[in-house]
Amino acid sequence: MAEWLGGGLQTRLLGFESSPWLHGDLMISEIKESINDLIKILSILRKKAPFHNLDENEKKELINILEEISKRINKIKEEIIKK
Amino acid sequence: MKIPKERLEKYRNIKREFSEEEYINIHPIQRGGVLTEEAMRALIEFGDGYSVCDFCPPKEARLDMITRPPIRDFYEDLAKFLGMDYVRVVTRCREAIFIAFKMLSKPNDYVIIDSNAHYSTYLAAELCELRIKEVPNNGYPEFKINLEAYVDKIEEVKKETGKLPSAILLTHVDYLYGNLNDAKIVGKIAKDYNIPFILNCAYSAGLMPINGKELGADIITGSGHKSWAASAPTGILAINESLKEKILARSKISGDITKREFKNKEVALLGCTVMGAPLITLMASFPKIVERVEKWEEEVNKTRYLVSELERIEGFKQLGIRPKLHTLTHMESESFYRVSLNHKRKGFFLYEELRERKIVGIQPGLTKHFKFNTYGLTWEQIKYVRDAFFDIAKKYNIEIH
Ligand SMILES: Cc1ncc(COP(=O)(O)O)c(C=O)c1O
Repeated sequence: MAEWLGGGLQTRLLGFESSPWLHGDLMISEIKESINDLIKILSILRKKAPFHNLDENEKKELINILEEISKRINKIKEEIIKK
Repeated sequence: MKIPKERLEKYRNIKREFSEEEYINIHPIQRGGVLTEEAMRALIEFGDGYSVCDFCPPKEARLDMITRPPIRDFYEDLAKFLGMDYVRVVTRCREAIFIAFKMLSKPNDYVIIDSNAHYSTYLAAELCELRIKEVPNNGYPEFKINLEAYVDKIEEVKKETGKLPSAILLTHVDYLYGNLNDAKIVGKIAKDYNIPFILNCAYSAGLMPINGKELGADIITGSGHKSWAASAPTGILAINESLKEKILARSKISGDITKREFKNKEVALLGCTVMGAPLITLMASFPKIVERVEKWEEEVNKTRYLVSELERIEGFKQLGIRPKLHTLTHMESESFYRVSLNHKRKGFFLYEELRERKIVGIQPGLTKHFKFNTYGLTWEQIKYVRDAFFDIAKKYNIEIH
């Protein structure tokens, strides 16, 4: 019957509401979080366009984010080595 | 046919020349669609094809029924936020208008629209094979729509055809002058005549607080890429209970051989609409939108400040309703036009002078008058834009009072 309604193919094949794979592995989540952190930096810089003149607080904030990213990248390296 | 490899190279690493990180873009259509951080992240997460369809419920296979990601909840919250009963996300504001016209009318019917309406409103009517009557504005320099004249136009249609128009549409804020109309006046007229009232909020919903019920709107249309910090294409079609059956009518067709039927699909939406990344950007930005509409007054203050500063330049005059009630502004700039007459780059000089200062969005070639939008710029950026104009004025010996 569902097929007659159209759509929903994946859910019909795999079963609705069952998704153990959704919570991905550490390496992937660290990669994505690093991208998110870089996006955070971009959004801050957008507000400072076109010359990105930063005050001391803004510089500190960006450096903190970059340090977080460095930590994440190290974790990604560790995870790759473990594979 | 094979496409040569070299020809394909240019598609591999496409970059936007005027990125939001490097330029201040004051183009009227751009400001409200700048993505939030949340939406930028969501783009990467949901960029693949039909990314939102992984958990399409088999019994009600429809975009608005999906709960993972929470599209169903989002539609409910969005409707509430707009003071309406139901919402569907469609591809563009113009599609929402088209759907409304299509489902409320028959070919050759009349619809009444304001004379500052966007061209796509006219095209939507044309595609539905409708006739239109325009409500006039009061001309230069205000171009204010005479809202009471909706009554005259309704009467005109009644006299000419013996029946009422199928719908009346008001552009809440127009794209030409950024004039904000008092929608309640038209809402009341529509109610008195019992004609569906479509309020086109392309330039208002998502930027300023909107309550459809308070304004007397039966339908609200909106534009995600224009005013909701979402990627194109995204549009909003919000309706009230009284029109639900008409606008969201279900499919009745069946195959003559297969007898296949699609009774749960909404015909005017052709089933599902925005099944991927753009919808998710709209959702991801929503919490920030809810916050930002509360800061509308501050946005208008920034515009008023810039207008008052720019009007210090000889020959500059803001067109449209004064003082500004919206961030989209139309400026007359007679003195820059005079410069253009003798400039080797003619009308392009202004665009180029601004671009050199990392400001884009003024239509290339225009100097006699131009439009801009300050929405979402910081005070620092607003002052930078002012300084850039002052700098150009000084360069060409135009007086600043
Ligand atoms: C008032 C108005 N309505 C509708 C539109 C079209 O919006 P969309 O691109 O979402 O169809 C515009 C575009 O500038 C507009 O100014």
